[in-house]
Amino acid sequence: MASLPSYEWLEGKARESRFLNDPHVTRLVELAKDKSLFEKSPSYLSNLRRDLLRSSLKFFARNSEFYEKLLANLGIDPDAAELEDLAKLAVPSDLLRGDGIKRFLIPSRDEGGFTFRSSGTSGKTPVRIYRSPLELLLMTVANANLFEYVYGGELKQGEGLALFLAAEELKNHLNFVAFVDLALQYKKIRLLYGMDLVPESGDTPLWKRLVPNTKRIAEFIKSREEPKLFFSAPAGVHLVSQQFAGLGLLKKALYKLALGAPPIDLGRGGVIVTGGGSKGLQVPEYHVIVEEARRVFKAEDKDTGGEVPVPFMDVLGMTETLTALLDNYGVMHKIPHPLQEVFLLDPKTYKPMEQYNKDGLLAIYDPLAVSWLEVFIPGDIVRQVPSDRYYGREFIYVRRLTEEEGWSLQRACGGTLEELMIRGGEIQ
Amino acid sequence: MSIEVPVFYPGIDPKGIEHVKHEDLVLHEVKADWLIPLLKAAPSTQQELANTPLKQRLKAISMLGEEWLEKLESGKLSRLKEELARATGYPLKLIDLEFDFVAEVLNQENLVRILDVSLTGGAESLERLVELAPGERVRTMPAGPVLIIGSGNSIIPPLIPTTLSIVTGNFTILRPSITNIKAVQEVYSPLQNLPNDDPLRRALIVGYYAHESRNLKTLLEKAPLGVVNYWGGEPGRTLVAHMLAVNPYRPRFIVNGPMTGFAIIDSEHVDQQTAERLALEMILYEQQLCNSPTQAALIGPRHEAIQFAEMLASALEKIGQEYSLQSETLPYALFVLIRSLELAGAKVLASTDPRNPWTIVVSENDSALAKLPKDALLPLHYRRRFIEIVAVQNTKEALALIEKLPKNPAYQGVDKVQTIAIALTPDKITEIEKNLHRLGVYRVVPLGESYLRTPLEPYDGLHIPQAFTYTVYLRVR
Repeated sequence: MASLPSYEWLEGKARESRFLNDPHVTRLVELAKDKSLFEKSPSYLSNLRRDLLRSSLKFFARNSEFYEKLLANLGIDPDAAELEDLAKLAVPSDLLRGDGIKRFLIPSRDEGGFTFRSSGTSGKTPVRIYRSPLELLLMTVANANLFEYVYGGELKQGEGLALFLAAEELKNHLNFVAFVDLALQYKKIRLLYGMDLVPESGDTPLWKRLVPNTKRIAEFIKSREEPKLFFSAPAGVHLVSQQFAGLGLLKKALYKLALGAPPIDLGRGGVIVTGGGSKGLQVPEYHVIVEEARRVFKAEDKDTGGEVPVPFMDVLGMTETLTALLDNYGVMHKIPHPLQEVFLLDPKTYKPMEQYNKDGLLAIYDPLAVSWLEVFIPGDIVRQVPSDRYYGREFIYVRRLTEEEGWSLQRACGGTLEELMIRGGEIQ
Repeated sequence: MSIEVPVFYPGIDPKGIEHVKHEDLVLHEVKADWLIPLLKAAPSTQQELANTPLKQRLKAISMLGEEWLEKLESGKLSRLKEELARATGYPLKLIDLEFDFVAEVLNQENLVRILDVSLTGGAESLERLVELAPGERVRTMPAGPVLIIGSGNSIIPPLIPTTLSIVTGNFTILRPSITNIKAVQEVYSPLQNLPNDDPLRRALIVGYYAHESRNLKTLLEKAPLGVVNYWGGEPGRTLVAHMLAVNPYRPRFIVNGPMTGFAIIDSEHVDQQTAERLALEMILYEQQLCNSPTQAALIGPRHEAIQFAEMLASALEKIGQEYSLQSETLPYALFVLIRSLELAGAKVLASTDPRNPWTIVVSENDSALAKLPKDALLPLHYRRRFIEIVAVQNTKEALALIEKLPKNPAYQGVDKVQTIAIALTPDKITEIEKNLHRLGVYRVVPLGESYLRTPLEPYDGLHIPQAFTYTVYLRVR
């Protein structure tokens, strides 16, 4: 399938899944929808994830000879599997390039899904990940629930307006855009894309063909709907902030007359959601981007209606993740979905690492993936800190592994979005 | 701060040096237009050398060894050892071992044995006509000037051809690797103390040329060279060959290309002693020698291969700690490779100690490394203390692995297997002997001795003194 299917289509197609009679999968479907998970204790969730790991390993072993042999070869007993076993199974994402995913897919997977691919900006063959319709549905629901938790409230069906500073076609390429698109369809919130792709000429890459759609951006700025959700790479936020902050008095007055901005009022419950982080590109530090934006954007508290500094959320997601990690600036660090097992490996020995406030190699296990056993190492260094929230831990993004450390993976999808706006390392 | 890389040549004229910036180094390259006239005059230096009694030449070389030992014992080389350990990544203990070997390479008795076995007419033919049969005489003449382009980290490999080139009477230019140049220059530095009229004092230049050096290109394309001896692989080998193809003096091109070692062990030798021998071979020089075993066949069932792998693991753990590395981190690329092998169904035993990062892969019938996706592979150069043991049913299958190795993507850039190290029963050794013609290997030695050479051994199928000389045959009646 070349285009990301609609949420409505997915709902229908997911009902045809051959796995809906499998108790493991039906349990996952229920858990993906379950918002009460966000109220559970860390130990409850930790036990739940261990149960899911065990039943997941059994599911994959009975559905694939590859996994049956792999578990035997690694000496992993599905009935007694623990976190240490996940570390043995984690696949470095470099191995998912090209057709790398094929050997991990179970033969009986549901067909008719969608394949995400990384941008290939690293010059290497892109990572490609297949998602069945059922997985896409679970991904949408689970991400939406996580979003609402980190956002701090429910997004009401059909209320509000969103702008994504990207072209719509990118939802067929980048996970971050696809996550947002499907989640907003699920919540029936209208999404405008603030950029267009100019027609293809020769081998011009996608990212060189993006141009702003001023009409849609203006529609978003002028809209009185609430809440207004602004999605972008950090570079996009920086760009908009710079443009508005640099206006002379006359231009400012003209903009104010035409658009009612600056400031750009995101209204009650308004939020800016970024994806990717700077990844070493020439954009300011994240806190500078936030400070700049808070001088140009304004928002009101979703409950009291009083003016508040514009809330900022950031998404850490990549082609391989079914659910992302989200943070809320100044409120919480990155936190995963309650079902996702995020663990760190010691970057010197690659053994599981439990210490807080120490840099570790990020590894993720997502039990909601049922086409392949989704345990992978995306190539990011993060730090975990204790938390009194449901997960018991939160994560701070530190950096990408460097080439010197033997790393050559694609950037996370948000980072790719930033590259789309960058020419020769300078923001245009 | 830039580091200067000087030239060693007692008669060097500062005007003959070009300072070339190369990364954080300033290379003192001998200018081609200064060197070419010197090379044109080299035949007279070579004649002087040829007229110098062999005993005197050998004594001078032996003296280099003695001075080296003196410096070693007095601790004058300690800093050099540390620098070399840092630059190569080799353990200090290995550098100690290598520095001890230097005097052996320069030992005159060993050199005479090499010359005797290598040259028609023996060592004697280097200084006079030797009668092979009534009325038939031969004299060995230098084929130089000789240019030796060395590579690699260790210092012994460039010393052997250089010493033999000088002893056989050649004006010699050695371009070692940037890593070992300082140590190599230190070995030959006492030559500058010889009297001015001693031709040996004027017989050797040791200097570095960058890969893209204009001076080196001119030398290869235009200089009156007799022999070019290239140690290394692609793309340098082909580039040098192309440049030499237009040289009007038609120098001989002798290549010692990249190769590797292969071990064969049978069920009868699955024991701790064999494991320890293999472990030592894997640790010495971090498998960077052309003879270090990097793949092994175990003739026996898989469970026996695993049993041997466990013995090897314990030996590597023990011996590896004696030769511990400075590293604090296991390379991520190695982790990716190990994980890929495990996912491919291979049994992997691996250390988690970055200072002793050994890895043993056990596969069955065929190489698991050969089947991995390209993105997962780690070039041979980076696979250190790493071996794949393939369980095979018989000697024939073991030999098939040797034949297939150059096509294995994990061995990209390697020409072929140079050395087979064996721990086998006599019947299996006989089978290897019968198949030598199709294996193309150059050496078969007992496991644990791949890195050892006797003076009688040729290098990659050729006696080096032969490469640097030609034989004149005289029958006047």
